[in-house]
Amino acid sequence: MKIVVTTSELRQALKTLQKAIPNKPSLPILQSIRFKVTKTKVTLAATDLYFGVIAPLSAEVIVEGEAAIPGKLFNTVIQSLPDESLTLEVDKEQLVVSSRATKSTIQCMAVDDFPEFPEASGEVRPLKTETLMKINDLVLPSISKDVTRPVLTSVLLEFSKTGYRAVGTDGFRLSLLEENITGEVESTLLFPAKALSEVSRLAVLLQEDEVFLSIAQKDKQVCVQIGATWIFSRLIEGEFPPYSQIVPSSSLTNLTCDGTQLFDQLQRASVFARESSNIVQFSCLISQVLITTPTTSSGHFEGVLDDIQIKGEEITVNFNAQYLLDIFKQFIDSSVKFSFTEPLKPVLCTATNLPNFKYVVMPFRVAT
Amino acid sequence: MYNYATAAPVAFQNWNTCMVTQQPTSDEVRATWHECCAKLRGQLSSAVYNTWIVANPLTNLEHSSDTALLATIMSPTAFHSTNVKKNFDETLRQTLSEITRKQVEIMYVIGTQSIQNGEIPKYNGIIHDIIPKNSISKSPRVEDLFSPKNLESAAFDRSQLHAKKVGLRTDYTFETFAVSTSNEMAHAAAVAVSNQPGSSYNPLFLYGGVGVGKTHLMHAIGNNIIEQNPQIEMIYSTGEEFTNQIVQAIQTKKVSHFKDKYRSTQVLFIDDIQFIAGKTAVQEEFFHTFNALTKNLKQVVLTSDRPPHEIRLLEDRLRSRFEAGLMIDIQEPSFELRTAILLLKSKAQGIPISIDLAKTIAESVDSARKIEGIITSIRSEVELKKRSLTPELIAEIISHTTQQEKRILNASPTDIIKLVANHFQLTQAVLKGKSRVKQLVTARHIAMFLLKNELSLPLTEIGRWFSGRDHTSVLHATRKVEALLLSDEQLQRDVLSIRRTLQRQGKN
Repeated sequence: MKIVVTTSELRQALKTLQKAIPNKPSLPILQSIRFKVTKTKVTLAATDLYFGVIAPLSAEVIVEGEAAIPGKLFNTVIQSLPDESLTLEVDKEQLVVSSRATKSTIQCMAVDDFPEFPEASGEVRPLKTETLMKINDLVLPSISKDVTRPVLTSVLLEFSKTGYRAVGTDGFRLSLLEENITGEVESTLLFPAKALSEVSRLAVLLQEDEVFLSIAQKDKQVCVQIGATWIFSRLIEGEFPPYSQIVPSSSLTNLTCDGTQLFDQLQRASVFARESSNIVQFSCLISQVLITTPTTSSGHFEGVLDDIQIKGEEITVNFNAQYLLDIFKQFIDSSVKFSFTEPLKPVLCTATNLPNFKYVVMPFRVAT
Repeated sequence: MYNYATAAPVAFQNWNTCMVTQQPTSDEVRATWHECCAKLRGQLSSAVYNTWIVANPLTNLEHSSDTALLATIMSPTAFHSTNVKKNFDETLRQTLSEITRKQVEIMYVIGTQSIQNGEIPKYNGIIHDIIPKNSISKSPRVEDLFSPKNLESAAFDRSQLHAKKVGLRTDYTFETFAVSTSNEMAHAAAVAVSNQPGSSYNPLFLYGGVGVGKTHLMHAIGNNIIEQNPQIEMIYSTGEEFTNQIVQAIQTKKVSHFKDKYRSTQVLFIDDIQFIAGKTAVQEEFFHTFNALTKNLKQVVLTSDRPPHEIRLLEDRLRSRFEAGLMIDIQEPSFELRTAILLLKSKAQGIPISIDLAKTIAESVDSARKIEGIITSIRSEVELKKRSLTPELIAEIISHTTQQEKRILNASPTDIIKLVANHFQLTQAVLKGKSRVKQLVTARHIAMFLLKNELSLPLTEIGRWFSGRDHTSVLHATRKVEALLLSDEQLQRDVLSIRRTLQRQGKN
């Protein structure tokens, strides 16, 4: 094969592939990028067998062909080159990258060993990039990183005729985003959070307004088409926890406060909370809310929220500051509402600027 | 060529001898796969072997014919499956054929083995193994959002909220309903209906006098259904509310909205259905609602103070439909049941009274509702005046309530006659008149009986109220009613109900 391409085009394509190239795969061929050059188009592909990407590359085709090129090395070489036109040529299992002043020769891998991608099949669902960004900001922070519980590392996506629902939880907090979900749920899938985050990143990077999901339940696979780029991911199997049951339906104390002020105070408190398991305490009194941290050897913090509304009984609740900060940065410039029932029961947080979003947090149990 | 007979593990030796009809067991499948792996390990590099063979195990073998086997290879992802099929199909088929000495065809599926076996891993909360169960950890921690405790309390809150929305009293449950011979039938039917709404007894028609527990049972059915299915659509209304809603719907031109609401519900409760009798438009609407619901096997539960055939001015088509369901009469509570109710209710109010005291109270009051009143007075005495629960206190409260009763009963004869006439839906003139139609006579007799017993009027004077009848006629009437009261339940109910209304009026 032989192509002529600009460094910047190549860098852009490598950016889309980067998450699909595993660091130390058990199967060596998986660390390679597969170039496929036909008369009309050039594509690059990489996969770790659980997640895969096929990206287009605009280049001038001189000779058709295929090659598997070690990804990390190739990437480093390309990043080091200045922005100019490059020639890539494969000859006798060696790739020669020549620029005006350089000539790098890279040993290729056996292209026949490169795994074949499965076919994209199943029902197709469009998803707006705007929605993906919302899921990325509001749902993905709640997802667990504990790989021993695969279901909690995934986002539950549900589609009805008119809308969608996205739910994520790590067992301590829960994000629930839904829009226009009326009528029957027609399609349910557990999308691995890492893959979904990558889909969202690429949709923004490639400036596409909408992506298309091909969901093949039988093959436990989802393919996402973002323009001319394809992302392949497996689906997670298992039963998602009964999320709808734990969203509090009633409350005894309601607190409404300013999102910006809340976030600022929480950030200040979290500086001190680091020393004490990230605990911040909300004391809702009749007319004000105190945000405090436990006293440690380094000191402690005390902040007040004014401009608030409290309805109901006085209550004191301990939170993990990180759980709140993760999500509350989306609540800046909005009014935030907390619904408390008991100090150790789930708390519901909503914001006026995000009417379709619910965040449920489990408070800390602090021994007294 | 591989010599199967000498090298095969024991599991396989049975293979050859086993009957064709018998499918390989999971142990045999595992042994076959073990064998297959052992053979391929030598032929492939370890990376290739681990990725393409070990990760894609054989999960099932079955005889597709006498000489052929169908093998299932399960891969974790579509990537694995596609490539195993492409690169190793031939190798696997050959190896498996050699081991089993049968023609092997391979089916490729995607999944994980535990799920394939039909056990979808249930979500069970995060297990805190480190912390022993009964000691509370000193260090702060966040508990699992999906802990059974949380799920349970959330479900409880949800059903309570739903019950409240529907208008059910959450304290009226089967647990707080005392059962005795007079109501065990009704209780059993209610439990059956609440466990299988729509399919056991439809409609369920409960009738009985005031304070026998019709409404309690109805609420208990509702609460039990909600507990089992918090999402269920349910409507509870009284006959009067139903009437008012129709009137309002007609006024605001939203009749279709009303129809949709009532006809889409899964369970319908109408308390005091007798109230709709005589109201043509309301009966018409109720008839269609009733038909729509029962046709779709939606549960309907109704209560009334008398059986359908005694509800006057009820359309025949409705009456026959009510009678097609299960009709159950709830009788006045017996002494034992009253005692049981007392014990239950006092416990629920947080002032458990002893069985002896309960008996004392049960002797002097006759209805469940009055029991509730007495318990409330006891509680207020105990809680507000800080008095202790003694027989003297009980006696005082009882005498107080019965005194009240006596004072109430100085109604005028006109009041009683009017009330009796209303109760039987007659005019006063007819009641006082000469006609001797049977129904009229019963009503007249009851009126005479009440005038004699409640107001202690002389017989001659009573006779004068009723077109100057002779005092012997009055005597006959009162004796007849007295005698019938011992056996005729409907008469008991009628008299009781009139007497109660009388008392209520006296209070106002």
